Amino acid sequence: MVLRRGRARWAALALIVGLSGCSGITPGNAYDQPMASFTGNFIPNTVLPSPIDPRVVVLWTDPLERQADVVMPPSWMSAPLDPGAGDGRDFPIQLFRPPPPEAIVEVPAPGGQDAARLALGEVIIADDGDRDGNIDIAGDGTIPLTGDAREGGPHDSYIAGVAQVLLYVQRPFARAPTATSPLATVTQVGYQAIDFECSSQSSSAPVEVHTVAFVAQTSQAVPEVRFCMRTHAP
Amino acid sequence: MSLLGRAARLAAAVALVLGSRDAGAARIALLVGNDQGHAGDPQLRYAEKDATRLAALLGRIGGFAADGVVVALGRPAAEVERALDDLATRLRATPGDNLILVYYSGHADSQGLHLGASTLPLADLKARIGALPAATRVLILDACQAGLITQTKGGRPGPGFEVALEDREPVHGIAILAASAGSELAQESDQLGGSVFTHYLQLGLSGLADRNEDGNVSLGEAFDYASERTVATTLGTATGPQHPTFRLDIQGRDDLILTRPGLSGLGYGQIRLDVPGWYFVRRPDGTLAAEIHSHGREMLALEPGPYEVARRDPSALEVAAITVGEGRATAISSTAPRPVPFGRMVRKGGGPETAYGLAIATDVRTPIADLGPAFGLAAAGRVDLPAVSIELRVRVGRASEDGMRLATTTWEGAASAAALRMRDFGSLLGRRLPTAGLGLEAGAAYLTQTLDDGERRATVSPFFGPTALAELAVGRHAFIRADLGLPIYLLRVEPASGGTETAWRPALLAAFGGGAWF
Repeated sequence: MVLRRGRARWAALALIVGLSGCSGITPGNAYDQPMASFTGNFIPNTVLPSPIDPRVVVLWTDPLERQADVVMPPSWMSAPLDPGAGDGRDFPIQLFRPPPPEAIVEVPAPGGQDAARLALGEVIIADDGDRDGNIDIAGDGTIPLTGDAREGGPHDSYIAGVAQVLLYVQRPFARAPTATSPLATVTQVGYQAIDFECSSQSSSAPVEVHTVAFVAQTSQAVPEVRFCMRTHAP
Repeated sequence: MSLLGRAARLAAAVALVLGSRDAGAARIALLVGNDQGHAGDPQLRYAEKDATRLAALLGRIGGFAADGVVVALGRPAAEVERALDDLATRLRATPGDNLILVYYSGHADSQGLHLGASTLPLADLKARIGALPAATRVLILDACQAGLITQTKGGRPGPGFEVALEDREPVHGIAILAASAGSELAQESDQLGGSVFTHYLQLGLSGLADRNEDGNVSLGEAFDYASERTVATTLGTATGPQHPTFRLDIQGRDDLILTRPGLSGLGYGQIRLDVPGWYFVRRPDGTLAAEIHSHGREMLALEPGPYEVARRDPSALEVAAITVGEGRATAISSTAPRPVPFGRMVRKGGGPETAYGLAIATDVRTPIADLGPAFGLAAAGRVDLPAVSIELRVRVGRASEDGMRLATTTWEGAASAAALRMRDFGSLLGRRLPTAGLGLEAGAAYLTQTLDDGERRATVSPFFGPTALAELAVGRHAFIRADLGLPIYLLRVEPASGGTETAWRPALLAAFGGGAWF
């Protein structure tokens, strides 16, 4: 009887350890539905430079510049873009998965006693000029010229960006930062598109938005124009 | 033909028997079987079949002429009484040392035989038997409370008795054999396909009761054998042991020989059990014709026809299909038996009580949690016990899913135990049929998942569910098998919204492989 009870105890313990010590598995259909949906459009009077195959791309950036940029795999998102749409035409931007694991970084709170795990992303439009199905962006934010592109052949290029920032929070701060901090909205898990004014090293309170507006800015290097946070948005 | 009509023909048969054989040794039998009793008596299944089989046996090897055996099935008391009266009338006209044997299988109580709705009082039966003008009268009653008729004057339970003495003088008198004692119930057996006592009485008369191996079975030998086997067989039944009894009032100094299975003749054949072992002889309908422990000398008389003879010793079970030919003797050693696989042997009983086996298989399982179909390898170790088979299983499998938004690869290692109730389906047209099993399986699986972004997940998932197995023996040691299972997994999943959830996820698993018994 003692032995039986002991065996049962061991079996129960093994089961509990097995169940609690492991994570769950991710179902194959876990990402069939979008985790976040936004609306994209173009600011008035935008003229795109005759793109060949424009695509919406999310470029994940370490705000503290500790690691290279990471491109969101195309199949993880959906943003059907009509190249001839021009001004005033909305199009959906759907994100089906969290950012790639290497894009998620740990960011300390301003006081240093707390830390969140998050990813910051730029939403850009790039032209798949070489029609290889990919937008090749290097870790330093440049679009390298390879092969025929070196001889003036077709190549990928950056053609538009948005003023808003895409934020994904995997683990929020335990205590919310001050309202004027760019990280003020890092309080809940999931995706947000936020907008904030940035000047020098200070910023206004971030505001969550549901529409991101693109502005055309053709460049071979993704521009870096923000002052208070190194991003690639115009 | 009516019973009276048969009785009339019997008179002619008596004359024929007496004329053609020994005028002092005519043998006549009346065998009465009735599956119906009074209102409230349960329907019997084998009473009439018992009477029919015993009649055939007496005709084959008992020296009873074909027309000297009257069988009355399902007849009321009045008809049976008239048959007895008619026999008495006819026998009076046939002087000599006649033998009359009256057998009854059916319902009875302390008052009399239940012949359908009618009753034949025991006192009346005894009086009529006693008045029959035959030198020797044998009454055999296979009925509940039949022992009451032997108790009235010195009836006593077995073991058997000896009638045989050295001097060879004809016997005279009356012998009454009863299948049960006092108020005991007489039992039927579906496995034996008849009443227990009559089954063993027939076996004894077929030769198994021939203790002195003289080729003849005497009344005493037959009762001794039937009594011993009846008690042994009914010891473990819910009704309890059944003790046959007898009352003997026989004078004379000769064996009262009932059958002569040692003689070859028309109407029956023999199987010589010349290889030691336990034998189970089955008729084509699956009922047991004989269960014998042979030391290598025994001989069994059977009516011609096909039989399945199974012989087992502690380490093997062999089955042979034998056709008993009329007037011929077939030795077991001359047959080509086929071995019975170990698992079946255990379930048939009488041999080893456990058999061990190992099996390997490939399998495929339907997706759980949309992780894609899983293909794997499985191994199992099994212990076959008479009532249940226990199987320990291990399995390694791999599932992959390449979806539009997510590609994953999941490896799974599982260990489980299954309890199965196996059923052997014998053989058909000489080809062995599969063994099938149905049971429950329970275990745990360890799943490790790799996502397309390099992330890894792992979880332990208990599972349980029904499992079915079909197995076909190939030779004595090897088998091929197919499995079907419906495992239900208790699975921890991480949805896109974060956190974890626990959910039941059913799947269908099929496997095919082979193995061996040891």
